[in-house]
Amino acid sequence: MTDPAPVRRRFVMNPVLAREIKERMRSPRATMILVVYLALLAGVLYLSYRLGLLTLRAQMFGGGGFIGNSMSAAALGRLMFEVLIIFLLGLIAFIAPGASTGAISGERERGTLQLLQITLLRPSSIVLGKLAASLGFLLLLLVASLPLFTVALILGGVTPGHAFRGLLVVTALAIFLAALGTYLSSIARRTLHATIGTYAVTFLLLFGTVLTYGAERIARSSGFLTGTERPVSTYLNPFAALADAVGDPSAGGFIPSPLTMARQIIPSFIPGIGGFSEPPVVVATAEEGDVAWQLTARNEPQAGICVGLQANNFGSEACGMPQEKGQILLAQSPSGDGGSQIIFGAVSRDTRKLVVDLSEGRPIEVKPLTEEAEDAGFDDISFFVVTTTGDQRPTTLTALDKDDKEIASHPIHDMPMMPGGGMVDIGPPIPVPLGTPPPPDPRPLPAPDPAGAASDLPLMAPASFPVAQDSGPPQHPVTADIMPAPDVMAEIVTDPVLPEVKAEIVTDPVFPPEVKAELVVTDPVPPRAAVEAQGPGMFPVRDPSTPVWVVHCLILVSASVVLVAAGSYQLRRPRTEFKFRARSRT
Amino acid sequence: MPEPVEPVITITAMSKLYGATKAVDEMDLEVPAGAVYGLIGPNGAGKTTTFSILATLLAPTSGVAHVCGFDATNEPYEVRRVLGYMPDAFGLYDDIRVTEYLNFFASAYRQPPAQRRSVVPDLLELVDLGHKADEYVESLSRGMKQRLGLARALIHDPQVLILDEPASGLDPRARQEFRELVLELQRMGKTLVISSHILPELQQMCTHIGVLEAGRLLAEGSPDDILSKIGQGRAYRLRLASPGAQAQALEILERSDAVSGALCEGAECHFVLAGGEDQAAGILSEVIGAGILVSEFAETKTDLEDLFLKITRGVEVEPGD
Repeated sequence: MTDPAPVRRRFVMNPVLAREIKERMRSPRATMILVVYLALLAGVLYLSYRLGLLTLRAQMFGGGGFIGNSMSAAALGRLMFEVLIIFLLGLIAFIAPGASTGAISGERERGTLQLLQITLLRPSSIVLGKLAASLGFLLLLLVASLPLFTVALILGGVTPGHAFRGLLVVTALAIFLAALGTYLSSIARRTLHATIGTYAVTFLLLFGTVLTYGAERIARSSGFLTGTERPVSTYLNPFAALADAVGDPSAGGFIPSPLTMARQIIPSFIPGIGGFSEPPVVVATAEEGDVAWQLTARNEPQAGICVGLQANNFGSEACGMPQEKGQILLAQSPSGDGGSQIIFGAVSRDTRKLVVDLSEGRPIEVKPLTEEAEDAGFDDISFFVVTTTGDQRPTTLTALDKDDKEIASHPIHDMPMMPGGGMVDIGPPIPVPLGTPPPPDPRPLPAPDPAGAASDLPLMAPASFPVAQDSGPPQHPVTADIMPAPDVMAEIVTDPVLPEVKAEIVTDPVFPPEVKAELVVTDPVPPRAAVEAQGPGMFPVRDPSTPVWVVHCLILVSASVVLVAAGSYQLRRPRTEFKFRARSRT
Repeated sequence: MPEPVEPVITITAMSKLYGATKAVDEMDLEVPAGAVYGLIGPNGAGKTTTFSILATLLAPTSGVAHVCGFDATNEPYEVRRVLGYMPDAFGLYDDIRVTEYLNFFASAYRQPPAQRRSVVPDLLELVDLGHKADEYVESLSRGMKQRLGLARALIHDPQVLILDEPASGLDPRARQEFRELVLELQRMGKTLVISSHILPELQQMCTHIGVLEAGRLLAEGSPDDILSKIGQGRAYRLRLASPGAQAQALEILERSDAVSGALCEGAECHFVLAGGEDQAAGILSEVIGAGILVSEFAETKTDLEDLFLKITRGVEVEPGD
């Protein structure tokens, strides 16, 4: 008897994988799937292009085409990209179970599984070899579709980064489904059972998570569940992850794609603009001349409470946690020609009195509107409305408790009416430490830069975005407003203690314009903290909370690891369990 | 070669239960080195279960099985190195050539490519498939597939070879070739364990025969020993035309002193008769006399079924394996 060759540690291709690849690629099935798959994707891409053009023509003035207008091209590119990638996700979800479920049950059906199990292969080698073969085929499909993506990338509206992250989400799904198919294949007596099981789980993952998301939302609103964080189901749904990964919905334009719907379940965009939100409650309305004001409030899962102030349907919101002491949430209207100005906001329930310092005359006192807040469904805050007239410029807002002790104080900027009209700007909520008077402001308020940055690219919509801060305090949000055409204006609103803000608009004919804002803090400590925010210029960047797509991919990949381990455990021999018996034996 | 006296396979008080069913019941078995051990028994007697345990696919409920001194349950990888197993199903891949098939299993046994290149053609020559090396597996005839399966079981040059029902479904010529192959392997010093449910299939090539029934080893010895245990009894088949009369017929058969075993299933009864033609005629007339309609009454050749009737006196056998 010759001894088997001494075991040497060196790379040897997994025999199961090698055979599997040979067998797969020899059958015409693989080629057929590849051809049909690419034909479908190309067809969908072309269709989305035609539909996008039609939509653009309908949207544009004068029915012009996209030629010569990079923004329209970007809108079209964005649409084509989103349609393509969501279709790709669907195709992979359709193909992956079929490509993986025959792996081990097929061997069992042919009687070859036990032949493998009595060799020196470890169970994990069998499972991993099978998984790698299915996954290899799926990755081949993904790579084969890359040229189609370049079409969308050339048109713009989408960065290579978006495409890459989107493909990562699809890859994570492919890994998970292949692992699931392989695992179910390892326990199923018949391939059919494994296939049915895998498709069922795929369906649940794609659509069942939408239902559980709805259930979570209902449970929250009816009080069964509490918490303002994102519903768990958001992280499980591949469409939501895809929407999150591929960047802002409307970076390139306003053509709705299938992803627009998926986006509704990621409340990660700035409230009230592109993201998910509860319908606001109208707290009060007012009229002055030909301007109709509307004050609204709503709960926002991510941001707490949002108060909004709209003048003739133009307006915006401020969001924060006014329940917490020291926070005053206010939405402020610009002063009109007559000088009148409205400030609407929310404060914590223990605020009994608000004092508004004015540039002229005596301060005015305002009572918080507790009943109105309760009527609107808010148990832990009070609203307040301050109206000033003429030359009475409000300068500071101070909240006092029942002992007339100061809870919080908030400087109020003068908001001149901006060209383009109708905008309402939001002052940032300023936390003030309890019991300490607000520090006297040694510097004059920095005058808003009338034209902080300009671009020769005509922009079509306003934007407001918070600067993501990755260094500790201060936590003041900084907003930059880019006003409508014809002249681009960037107005930076900063807190007096953060005097220096640089803003730069970088435009690119292909990709959507990006705004880079650098925040330089000189006083107080930390002495210098540079924060950079980047995002598609016209629309909000996402909030800095956990990215849905990263969590989603991590969940799927970890689940895959568990499934591989479980499948390997299933194939270990010898085992004592009841043996699978061949049923049709006479 | 291990010491000839040292048994290559030792099974001690081994039982295997499937739920409440005892597939193997306190079995003791020893296979000496160099033997060709034939294990016979009807379907469900526990042959495949015993083989699965030896091949490290199944763990016994109790008892131990050793192959070349290694415990099949606790040292499966050591056992796998010395044991080749050919199950009753061929276990072939479709889209693969004969050489590739063997190469694949060689790599699964961790053979380096250089070794594979010499081992695979040698094996194909041994099983007389050298001329089919580049054919697709699916194009082979049944007998060739069987021989390819044998080559696969031999790929890692095991000392022990376990063949589960290797001759079933083969035509006489293929069976003859297979027998020669077994003898060749024996000459090479391998120990073989072969199962079958047909005694004549085994008696020409085996050095030892064990009779397995309901998970127990009922008889063991050389083929001649086993045949002599059957004695002079002759097997008869009685086919009844009256429905529902088998209980009555069985009663008549069992009453007779000349009948040493009887079993009725459906419309057919089998029994083993110790006497001659007279007794046979007597039983037939007794059955007809009892008003039972008989459509067939004939002597059958001595095969395993008869052996079982002889030895087990008609113990009912659960079908299924």
